[in-house]
Amino acid sequence: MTEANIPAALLHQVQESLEPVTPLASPSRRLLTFVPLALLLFLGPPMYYGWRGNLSLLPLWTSWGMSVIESLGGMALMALALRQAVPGLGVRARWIWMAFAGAALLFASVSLITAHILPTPFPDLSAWTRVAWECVFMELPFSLPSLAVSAWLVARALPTRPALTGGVYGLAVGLMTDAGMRLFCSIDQPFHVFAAHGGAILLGATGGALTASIIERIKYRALSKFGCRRGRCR
Amino acid sequence: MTESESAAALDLLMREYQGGSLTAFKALYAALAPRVHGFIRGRVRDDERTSDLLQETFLEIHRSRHTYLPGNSVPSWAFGIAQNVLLRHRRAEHRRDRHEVFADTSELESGIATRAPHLELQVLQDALDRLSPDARATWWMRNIDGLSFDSIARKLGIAAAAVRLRCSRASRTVRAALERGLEND
Repeated sequence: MTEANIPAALLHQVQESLEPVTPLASPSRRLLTFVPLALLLFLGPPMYYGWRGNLSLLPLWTSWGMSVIESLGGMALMALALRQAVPGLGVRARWIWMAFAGAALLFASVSLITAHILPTPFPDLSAWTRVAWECVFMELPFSLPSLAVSAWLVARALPTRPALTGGVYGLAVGLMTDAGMRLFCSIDQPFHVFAAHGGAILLGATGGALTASIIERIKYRALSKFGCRRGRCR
Repeated sequence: MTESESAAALDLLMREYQGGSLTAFKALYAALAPRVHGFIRGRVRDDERTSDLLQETFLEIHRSRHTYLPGNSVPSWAFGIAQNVLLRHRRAEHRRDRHEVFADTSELESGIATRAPHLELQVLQDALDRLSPDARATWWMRNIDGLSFDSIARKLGIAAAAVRLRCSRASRTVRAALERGLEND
């Protein structure tokens, strides 16, 4: 094929904005930039709000061990989201749904095992709403900035299924935040954990899906309107 | 050239393209366009739309050339972008108010029917008949209604660049048909 086969309008647009660009770092390298945030999500809630009173009653593998596993699960999901955002590196949608199912299973297992090892009575029913909302809202100062950073990392690439990719990084942030929150919240009663902590994770996944969809739509509109200016197309 | 040599050559071209080489872009277009065309054609089954989506894919390839990670497969990356464009196109189609588009087309048909005889532009009507409904609607919105590329893009739910390409192609077809029609007269 020769130059004549390239439509003139396309060639013109390419010529107009052909400045050199720096290739995106690989997903694994970009995941490294998330490590400090993962540490903040892990240690931030208990250090800021205080360690759970009954921490010493839990075996080490249940308290720290399970939190580490949950946090690593979140990092694995984040790696998947960053990979999914690069064209040609994405996995099939069914693998993503399996990752969602795996995350739910991990969260449920961690919560139920902890509740089995250290059953804690649930506070007065009248206090339920307050306790649940407290756990949700206390996560937000940690999860929101992390969600923003993940959204930025993913938006620099080109996710094919933005909502699904956003759901994955939202879920990742939710899991990592919960890994820290469970070292602060002393209530292991499953109803509270699934409703409040699980709810916060779901909120993160929904927030991620919405954010990624909105960002991609804004990006697309901006690019359609202004085209690629001076090669800065991110 | 073996498959691995070809992959290495494409990788090298892609690196040069990322470095700002137009020659590399042209070579990449030559190497990838037929394969991407086949990929899109297999999913769209409409030649004109395939052609539009192919150009939109290459525009997106250009905009997102920084997302190619050196050392990876260039065709996989290009197919990933084509898939992205296809899904975006489907989502836009889904969102688009079908009634509005049908109204535009019927408005267009009645516009041609009423204005063409009055302006003695039967030959234009014949020329426009040669276009697909999509291309005709785009051409009409641009040249008769005087809408901007962006407005048409918003109305049709496609990229402004794709509207430009569609208009330019439609204008070429109309011009050729008009010239043929005038010669016959």
